[in-house]
Amino acid sequence: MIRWTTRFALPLVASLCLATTAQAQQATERYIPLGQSPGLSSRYTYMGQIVRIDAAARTVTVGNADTTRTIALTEHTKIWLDRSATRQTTLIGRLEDLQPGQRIEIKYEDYATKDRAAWIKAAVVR
Amino acid sequence: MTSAVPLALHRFTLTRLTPIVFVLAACRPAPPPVPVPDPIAKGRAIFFNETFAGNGRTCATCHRAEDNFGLSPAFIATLPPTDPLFVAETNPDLAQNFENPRLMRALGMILENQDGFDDLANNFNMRGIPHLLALRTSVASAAGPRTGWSGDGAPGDGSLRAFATGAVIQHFTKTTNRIAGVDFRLPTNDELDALEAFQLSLGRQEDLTLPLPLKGVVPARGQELFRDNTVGKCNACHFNAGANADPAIFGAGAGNLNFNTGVEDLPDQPADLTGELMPPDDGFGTPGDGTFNTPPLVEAADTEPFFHNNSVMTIEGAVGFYDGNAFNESPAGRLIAAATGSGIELDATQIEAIAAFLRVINALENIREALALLATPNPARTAPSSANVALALEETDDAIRVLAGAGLHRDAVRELQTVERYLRQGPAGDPAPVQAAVQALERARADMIETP
Repeated sequence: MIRWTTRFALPLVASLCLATTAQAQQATERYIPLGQSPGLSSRYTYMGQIVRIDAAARTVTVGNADTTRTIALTEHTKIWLDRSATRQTTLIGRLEDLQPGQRIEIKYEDYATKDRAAWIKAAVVR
Repeated sequence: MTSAVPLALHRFTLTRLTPIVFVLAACRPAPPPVPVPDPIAKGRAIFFNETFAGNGRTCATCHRAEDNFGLSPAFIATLPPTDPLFVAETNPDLAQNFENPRLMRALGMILENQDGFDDLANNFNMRGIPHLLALRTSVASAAGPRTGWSGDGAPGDGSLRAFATGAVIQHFTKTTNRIAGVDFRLPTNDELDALEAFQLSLGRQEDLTLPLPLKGVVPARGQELFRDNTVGKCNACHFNAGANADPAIFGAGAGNLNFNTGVEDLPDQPADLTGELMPPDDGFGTPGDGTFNTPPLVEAADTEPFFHNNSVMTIEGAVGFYDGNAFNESPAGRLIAAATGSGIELDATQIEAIAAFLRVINALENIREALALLATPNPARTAPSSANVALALEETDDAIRVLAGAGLHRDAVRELQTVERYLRQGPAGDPAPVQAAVQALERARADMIETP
């Protein structure tokens, strides 16, 4: 019997499996209000208020009672304007839509480094 | 669990305190028993009844207990026009860009916006409704949980627990604005816990261990082909006919994996033939990488249609797919050819043999499930509840259908028909017909497999 060899199996694993790392769906994530993402909010996301926005560097500095962090936006970072408090639909936003003092929630691209945002939910209360 | 309390202290506690406990017990009335929370029962109630203040759908609208917790076109054809499944036909707010009623009724397809809600008219995919059986065996992978057809169906942490939140947003909404608190309410943490517990309780709780001592020569040959890495090569990705990869090939703990098997490249897909808009489905991620999740095969034969786009109606057709160009020219097909020296080439007899094997293991699972349902007594009586009897009847009917569909095990089919007669004859709660049905189920099983 021909056996699957390590020589072939490893590339198979690498090309078929490792390319598909753990990923939650972002489509429906958009409509989950800030702080309510199941399994993420309060555990793996960072919530606070925007302290500073550096449009040139494409970073936001966010603070809460515990710490202040500066996090970079990448070309893949999604920004959602959460208007559920005013019973309006969530909009897709841009960095220019964010404002100091605004309450936001950030999911990191990599929880270990905590330096880049996969998505940002920004509360819009008016 | 080992107690950390020293043995001497145990002795002290027992000898000194026992009389005190007895005295106290004699002086006070016994407190009422503390109800034990049953998350599965709670999850069941939510699954079947909770609309989450949405458009009227529940989880069970699309995942029917009577249809293996999935939904086939044949079952859809039995539903009244007022069924909440058809909410796009009855709610003007959902008439556009929420479902495609023609594809839903003809092919059992549901609309998904897994790549985003920005262009509802064009950015969507039509997918089948997967069954929810054996989830305990089919979600975990080394790279994280895999839910839904492409493995990325859940928001939040991507877990089965979080899946319900995404499903409410996608399928339960009153309007396409999808505003939480207006168009639906999101499940609470307790509800998510309960729904996860209920879903994990459905169907098989562990994988088979192949080879099975099958009695039928064709299913037995099918099992050999299934496991033969020079012919069927099925066992590599569907280890033990489940949803997990062979650990000898993919490594221990690889679990449930995604592959691009080329299903999207099948010619003449029924949905395409209708002329309805069918944007290409790019699978896992946004943008997608073309891969889809590996489903378990034990439950395959009675949960047609097959693949994420319901493109194949018969289990023979699903096996035959791996003999075709779409698979053998796909990324998965090419790598299998590189790993084993050839693609998958099956003749008609081999396709039917593998399908016969899948039909028989499906029927055996139907019988296992029916026996489990009939062995669960109604708390108030000695017989199973009428709901369990009804589900056991569905399982029995599925077993008959998958066996008779290929002329397999005619004696077992006759026994299963006897089971149906027994289960239909007795008044609810009468144990005699149920006992007779159990015996007939065991005879049917013994016709297909060596039993101890």
